[in-house]
Amino acid sequence: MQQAIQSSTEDNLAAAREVAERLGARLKGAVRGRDDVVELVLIALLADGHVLLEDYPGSGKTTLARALGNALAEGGGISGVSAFRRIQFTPDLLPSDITGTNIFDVETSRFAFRRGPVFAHIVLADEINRTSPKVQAAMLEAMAEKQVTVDNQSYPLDDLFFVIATQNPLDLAGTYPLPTPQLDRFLFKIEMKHIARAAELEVLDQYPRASLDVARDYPGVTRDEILEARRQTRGAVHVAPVVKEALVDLARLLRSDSRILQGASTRALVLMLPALQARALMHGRDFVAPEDIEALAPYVFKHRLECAPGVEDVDTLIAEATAVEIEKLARASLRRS
Amino acid sequence: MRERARSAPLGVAGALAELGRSMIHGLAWSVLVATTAPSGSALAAFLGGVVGCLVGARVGRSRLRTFVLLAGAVSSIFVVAWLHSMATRGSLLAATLGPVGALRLASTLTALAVAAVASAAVRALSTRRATFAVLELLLVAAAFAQLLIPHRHGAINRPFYLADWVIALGWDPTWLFLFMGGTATVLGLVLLLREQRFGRAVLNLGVIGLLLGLIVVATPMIGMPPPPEGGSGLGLRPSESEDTDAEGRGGDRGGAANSELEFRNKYDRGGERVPVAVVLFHDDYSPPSGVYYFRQGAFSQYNGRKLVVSGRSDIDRDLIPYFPTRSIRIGEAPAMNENRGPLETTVALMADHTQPFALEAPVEVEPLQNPSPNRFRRVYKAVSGVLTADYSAILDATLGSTTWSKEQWAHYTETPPDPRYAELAARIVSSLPDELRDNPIAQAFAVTAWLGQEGIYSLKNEHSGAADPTASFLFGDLTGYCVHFSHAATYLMRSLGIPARVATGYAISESARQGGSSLLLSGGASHAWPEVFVDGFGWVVMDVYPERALDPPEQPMDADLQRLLGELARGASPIPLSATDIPRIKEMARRVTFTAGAWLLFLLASILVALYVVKLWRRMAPSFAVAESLPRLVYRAELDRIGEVAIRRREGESRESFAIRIRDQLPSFQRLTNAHIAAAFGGYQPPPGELKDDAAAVRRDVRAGFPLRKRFLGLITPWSWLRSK
Repeated sequence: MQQAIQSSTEDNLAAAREVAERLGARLKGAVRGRDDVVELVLIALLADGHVLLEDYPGSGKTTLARALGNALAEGGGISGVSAFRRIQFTPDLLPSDITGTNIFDVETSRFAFRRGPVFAHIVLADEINRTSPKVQAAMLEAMAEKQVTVDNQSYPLDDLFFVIATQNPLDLAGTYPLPTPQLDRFLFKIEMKHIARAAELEVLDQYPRASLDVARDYPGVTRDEILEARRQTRGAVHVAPVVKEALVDLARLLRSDSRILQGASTRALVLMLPALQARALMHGRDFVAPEDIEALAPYVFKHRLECAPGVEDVDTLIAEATAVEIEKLARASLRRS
Repeated sequence: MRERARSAPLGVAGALAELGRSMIHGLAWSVLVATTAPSGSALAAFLGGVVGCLVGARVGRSRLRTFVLLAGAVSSIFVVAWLHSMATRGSLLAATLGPVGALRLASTLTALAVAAVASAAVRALSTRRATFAVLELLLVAAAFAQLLIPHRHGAINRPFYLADWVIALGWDPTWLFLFMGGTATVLGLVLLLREQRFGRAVLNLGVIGLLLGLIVVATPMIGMPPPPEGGSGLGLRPSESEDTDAEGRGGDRGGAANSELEFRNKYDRGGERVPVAVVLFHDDYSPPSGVYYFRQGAFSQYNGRKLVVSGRSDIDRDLIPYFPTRSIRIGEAPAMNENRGPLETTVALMADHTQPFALEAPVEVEPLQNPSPNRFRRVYKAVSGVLTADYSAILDATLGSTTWSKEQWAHYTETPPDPRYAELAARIVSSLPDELRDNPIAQAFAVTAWLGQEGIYSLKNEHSGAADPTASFLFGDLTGYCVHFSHAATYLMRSLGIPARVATGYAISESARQGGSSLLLSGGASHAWPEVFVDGFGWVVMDVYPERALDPPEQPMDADLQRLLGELARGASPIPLSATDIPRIKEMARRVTFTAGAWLLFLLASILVALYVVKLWRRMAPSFAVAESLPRLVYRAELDRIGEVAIRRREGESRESFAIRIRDQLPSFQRLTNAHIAAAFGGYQPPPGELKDDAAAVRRDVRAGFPLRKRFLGLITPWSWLRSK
């Protein structure tokens, strides 16, 4: 494999695609009827972004995150970092509960840093809106900076630090909803819908042995493979200048709309570009096509837009603006370049 | 969609379009106003339209509720109307600017405000909702369409240069205008619908075409609105408010009638410009008085209040009693001698008359075939024994006829019992020089001269309520119109023993002919005048010409209209050139028509050819393309092909989604799409053979999936490629 990566770009991409496919197959085997969500999560993983899942309890969020964690072979990166950690956010949680804290070691008579649960490759931040803003801020700092700071000492997190946060769209009493600037740190916000009937039946059939079988049937991936796939995706998937223009124009169009108080940030575009590349890779292409924008725009922009009072239908706003840019791209493709 | 329209940012093109739209609004308003108001108001209306349109667009995009917007517009119109009435009725403005200035200022400001408010409301509504754009369209269309409504009081269509030309070709201008209006509407709608989806526009176009066709079909069945009734002259027309006589209401619609001569306090001048008839002179004739008198009726019977039509069969037999169906001679026509000579005239009536009239005094009347039934009600020829001698010749003649019976004499000299008439008549006569004092003709002249000197002509007076309106006029303020004057003159003459009567019809100055052979009579030419019977002359007009008048003088009739209608009545080509020129001009017109048609055909044909050439080129381009543009051109060619069978990408749909959407019908198109996308965004160059295979697969799919009929129709549609995107 090592040789293949060096031989040519195409082989590298093929390798990266193979990693994604392997991971996708494993996740899809573990979580039935959620192929779209699995794909988005994989895209986010390859694009080095974090994901916010918003859906009802018992819809498979944890299963998905755990399956992802299980798929990762332990080890690699900073020593002693586990592949998967789950943090259940509660109102009485303290920042040190997630970041870790300095503990006085009686033997050495020194303070030693004890890592918190964020030191993992995959972190499931369950019900992130249930905890206090202070804890949320610590979590979000970890997400944005890939490091935690305890007692003025910064500790880097692993390169493959991927957060799947969840929140419940209903039952908001006693919660601390994440403000828009903090939501901006998530690449995607995915609203999961109830799965189809057939998929639900499948879940019932397979439940007792699902995770075990999957682990046996599909091989896992290593941390290094994912990081390499990330690197290759970013380097080798071509983004045509017109596509970049379309992205910028799309953001500008959304900002200029009087129904939107706060439009998409530049960070959104910066985060979106690798996501587009990742999606292109997963669809067997080595270039970003308009359909990637069409597919990802709703998940990227929906949680970043602050609408004017009285405007409810964000999806339509995004769809309209996207249609304008897609139309431009479609027309441009027929013109002589 | 509505939300989108409200917030769509205005680019430079948008701003230009908005400005253009506001210009159209302004033009529409100025055109609407220009026909009824002075030019200053038209300019103000233009400004108002422009400003209103721009403001309306802003308001339309604001968050103001539509209901509030409408209420605001309506109440502003009321405020403007109130201000206008304040400005014109109040004395402040009139005192500072003078009455004319005040009126001008008020009408200018009103035009400005009304145009601005209405334009703003219409524009705002149309910005809000696409359906309301119809209002905007209606406003503009109505403004310009009213230019084409039959003008000159329904006598003729405007614009003249077009209407005259079409009439010269022997067609009805109505059709030309219908055609022009239809074309303009379709063009306007095309422009209006351009921004929407093309398919919708074509559908709407079809519906509109159907509607236009319906109008064109319905027009000959229902007919165009008839020209307004003419001849309100002298209140001879039965009025809806005042005259309740069943006799007057009967068939007496329009035209100087002979049923009743009514005194009125306020005489309505509304119909005075309406053409009621045109008279063609077959020979040149200048009346000694300088005025042509067309006699229709005569009033000689005194009924205790006024003169009415006599019921006796031996009285007033010099009138034309009815519309003849064959040539008739008039019973008591004056003899032709050195004083009266024959003159032929053709009379074409444009409004209904109860009785024919002719230049005094008619001898023979013959019906003619109507050369233009669209314009004329009846056409007849009349031979009149017109007065050729000078009035001085009458001085030596005697009054009355030797053949008259005593009853006839008594009939024509009966006066009201009021002794003041005789006293006044005696006083007038006493002013005559001695040698003429006993001459009854001179006495008659003296009466008309005195009335002309002392009387004041006005259509507004206050005599109709009096028991004897004539006395109220004559012994009162001496202010009245021709009915008063003619009655007064007749009574005065009769009290001097002169046989006199009141005749009615039309009187028009010789100058109105303007040297031509046709003479247009309008409702305003209706007249009543006194006449005396002179032996050897028959009934001679002894009209009163008041020296003072309170009313503005009448405007002369339109000379072009007079000539044109005269030519129409003649039944010939109305071009006033020699007979040899007429075929030449017809030929020219035909050639112009032909050339215009040929050019139009050529234009259409070249557009069609251009469309086909582009279509063919797009289809063939892959065969000549260089390798790097091959994917694009192959894709475009196949896109055109599937567009022909109505498979088209939606606006805003990505090419990939489109390919997925049509996967069931055209599975092979997805491969071609992927190749095209890879080339366009990934910089790939698929091998040409592969591309051609993909294209062939698409062709196979099209052949298999769509019936031959549909494919053929698509193939021959020249503009199908315009819609593939």
